[in-house]
Amino acid sequence: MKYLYSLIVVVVFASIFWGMRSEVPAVSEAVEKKSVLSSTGGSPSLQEPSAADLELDRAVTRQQQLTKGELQARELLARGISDLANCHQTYSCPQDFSDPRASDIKQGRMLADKLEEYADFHRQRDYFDEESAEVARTFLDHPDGFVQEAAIDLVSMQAPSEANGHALINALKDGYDAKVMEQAMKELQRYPGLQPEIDQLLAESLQTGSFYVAQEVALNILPHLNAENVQMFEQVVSGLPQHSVRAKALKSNIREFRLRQSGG
Amino acid sequence: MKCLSFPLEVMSRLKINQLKNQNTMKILSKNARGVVLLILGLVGVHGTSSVAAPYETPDYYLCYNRVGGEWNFGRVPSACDVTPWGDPAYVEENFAPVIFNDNTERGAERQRYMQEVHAMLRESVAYYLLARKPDASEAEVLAWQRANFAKAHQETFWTHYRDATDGNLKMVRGDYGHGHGMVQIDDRWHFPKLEEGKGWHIFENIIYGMELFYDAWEDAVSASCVSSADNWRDRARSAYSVYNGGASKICRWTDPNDVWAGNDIGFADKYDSQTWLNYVVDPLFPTSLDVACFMEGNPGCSAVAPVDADDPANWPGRQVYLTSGESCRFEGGAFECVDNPADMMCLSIVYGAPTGTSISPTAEATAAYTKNVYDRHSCFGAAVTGLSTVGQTIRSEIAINVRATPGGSAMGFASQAGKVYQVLDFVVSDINSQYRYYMIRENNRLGYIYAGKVSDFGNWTSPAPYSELEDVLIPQVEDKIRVVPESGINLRSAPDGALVANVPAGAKLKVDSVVVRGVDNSVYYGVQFQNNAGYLYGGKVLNGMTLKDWIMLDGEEPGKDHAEAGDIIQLATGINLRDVPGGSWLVTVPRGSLLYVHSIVIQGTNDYLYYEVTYNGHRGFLYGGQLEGTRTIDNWAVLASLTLADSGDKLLLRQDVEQRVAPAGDLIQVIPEGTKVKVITSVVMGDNNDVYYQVKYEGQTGFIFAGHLTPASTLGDWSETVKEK
Repeated sequence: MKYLYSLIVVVVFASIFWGMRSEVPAVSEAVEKKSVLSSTGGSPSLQEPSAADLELDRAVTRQQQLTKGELQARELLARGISDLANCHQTYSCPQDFSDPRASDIKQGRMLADKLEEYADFHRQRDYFDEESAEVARTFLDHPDGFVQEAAIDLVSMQAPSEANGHALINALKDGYDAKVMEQAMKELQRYPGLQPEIDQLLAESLQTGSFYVAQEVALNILPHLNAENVQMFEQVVSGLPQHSVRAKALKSNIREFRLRQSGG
Repeated sequence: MKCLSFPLEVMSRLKINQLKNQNTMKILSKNARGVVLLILGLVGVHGTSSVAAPYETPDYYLCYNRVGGEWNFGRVPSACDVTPWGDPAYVEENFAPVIFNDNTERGAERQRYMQEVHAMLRESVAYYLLARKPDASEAEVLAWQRANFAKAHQETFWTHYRDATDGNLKMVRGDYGHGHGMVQIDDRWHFPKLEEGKGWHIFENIIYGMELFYDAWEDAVSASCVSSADNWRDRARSAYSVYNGGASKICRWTDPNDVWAGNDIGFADKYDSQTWLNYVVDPLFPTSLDVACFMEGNPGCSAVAPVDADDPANWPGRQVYLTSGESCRFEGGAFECVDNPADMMCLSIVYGAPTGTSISPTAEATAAYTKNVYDRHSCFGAAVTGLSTVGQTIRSEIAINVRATPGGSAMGFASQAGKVYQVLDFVVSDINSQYRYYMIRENNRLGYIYAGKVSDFGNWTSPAPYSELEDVLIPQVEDKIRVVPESGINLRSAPDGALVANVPAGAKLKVDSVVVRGVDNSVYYGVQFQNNAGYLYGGKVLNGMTLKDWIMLDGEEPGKDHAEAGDIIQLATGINLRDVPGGSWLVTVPRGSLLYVHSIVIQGTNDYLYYEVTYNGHRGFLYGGQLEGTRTIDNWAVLASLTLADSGDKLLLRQDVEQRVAPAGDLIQVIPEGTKVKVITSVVMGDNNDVYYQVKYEGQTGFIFAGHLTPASTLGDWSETVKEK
């Protein structure tokens, strides 16, 4: 499935740009150069708004809409992400032949950087919409862990939505990156309405998931335990190798949950 | 600029480790993670070394006493000391059968080594597959094993540990030292994973490699270049292409013009020829390593052997694993047990070394016998001379490397010589020497320090007065404590005993006794409440510490929500420094950096946090995560345990220092080394977070330089804060 993600990216960004074109005039090359700075180390950054425009000591009020200039700036950021994500179709991927894996890793790092820039843009304006949610969802199941982390971070900034929650749960199935799972388990706490699906994900991860992901799940499961699911996890632990790290951690956290329930 | 303050030298149990350059470590520790970089053995060793990778590790980084080898099984070049990545004594104790001995006749040793490694690999990879896919067919298990054998051949000719002629234990380091272990995990991409032990520990190394390989193996089913799910050769080739080249390269093996086609051809050759079988006399030879135990992450696992486990005649002297979960010795017709197999050492000290390998009898066979289960805390406390138990306080006599696990990977920092710590866990190994490790909290992180053996433990740590402990996690007798949970805590007649009363949130009580029990180091406080004596549960230490969720010292405030102006933060990941929050990029500050916080900014719906800091001459803002919604601040930066001296603290000067009218101003006088001066105020300024203290000496008030924070802290070189209680 993950190998279809490029196709999804094309569809998502095509729809975004199609929508943009209908309301925003084409951006001139000169404007593009002015609004986006390229910094060294693959860390391009937005220049707008300037330091003088920022009121650092006061909370920014959630923005209701983006100005035309901001829409243009966002389109540039989104285009940069799209171009890089689809580079295999256009034979424009960054190349590094110093090592068999170097090209893939380079592309992943650059993509993560661009997603972070995209997130910075929205965070600074405190503006999130369906487009920013769609961009985040698109990259949740990317094979590169850095890209996944950046996508989860972007999801974390937005109000919980069923679509985001489902996308995150699906992205975590069969994952083998323990750090991504740790980050995602914090985010999933915001989706109590999806707890049955989350429980299933966690149970499967514990039973037949990646070894390191299973250990991470067992260590961080306490906030996900509740009166409805604790028995199910007790059954799960009884089926695990009894002296495994995951079994010991799960057992420990179930006991802690029971103590919390009973008042110690 | 003075060099870093990291004066430790760490003694392994057998050998003295070499100095580890903390400065370099910090620079290297940018965040990088993801997948395993695979390097074809020959290409790896003879290929280019100039790679623009996330971690600019130099060639042969932390590679000591490098030796060469030969292009044959078990001994490919190069190999470097296991130290400082892991503890060689641990390797020798646990993995002796799979260490290639360079000091014996080569041909016979290769035969022995291959037999052992084949048995270990065969069981390990099958265990992994069946754990992930319990319904895997026998054909798939065999194919998976063969694919992994070929992968290990392609990577390193099945090389991992070597007992070299220089007397040091080595591990393979290919590709100019960048590739670690049998599956060649590259330090340029996976530095944090290597710090966790995924390189030196043979099972961690193999598992880490299989995590990616299995993902690719499963994805290969739907790859266009794989004709069917049971075309095992195609699946193996696709899995290897991904393993070697990345997720986008699943069909690379079909392209003879690909730059890396040679790697795919090399893998296929090995898969087809199975050359390793030339060295394996018995393909079904049983491994003596407890593969399931190591694969499930246990630190120490005894050897296994095929004996009749249900025959009581085989029980005495052995480690007996009961189906009810306990690990036991069969002594005097009864089972003497502990809950955790890791604690069997206590029973071994009491009853002598095991005389056979471990066994697991059925419940029916053991049902008729008495079973005594001992708590680890009381058992070890009584059996091990000079052991400090959980809750007690120790002084670190020297700076000692803090490791993620006992004898495991160094975490990149050390305990502070002279500082008092609370013991949070203990681990003992070796019956005679009784090597001991303590879990402590340093740098806001939990880790283990080595604390000597029965004959020299006093050189490493010593008991210290509780009154000198600053970081109290487990309050002690006479302390006043406060109940934290909103619903209160139940007072019970004994730990986990009958309910007596509920003590409400906020209630303040005097501690009469402290009891630590169980495999999680659960803490109970004996208290008096409304004329009732009883015990309160106070949280656990292991598998996720919850102590502060239950009990806090009276007067203790909950931990700071986040760093504030005047605090020092340590970055948990590399973060871009920008001119304003979300503004233009100035520089990327590497993971691990210590920075003084000039100010903070919180803005936005989710309370996005920014720290104003200076790094390498740039003053700007770092994003620090969000405080609302999903709290993410710990992913970015944490409060450093290193703090500046407060007004009124005394400084013991460790070298002559110049007192000036202002920071870097006109000279007043030189204050000699060894002098104690009282701090009036502190100032942090300059490109490298230079620290100055205003002090009074011989009637003159002025500023002294006290080191800098970046690129690595040198505060310890200049002075030591003396807290006088």
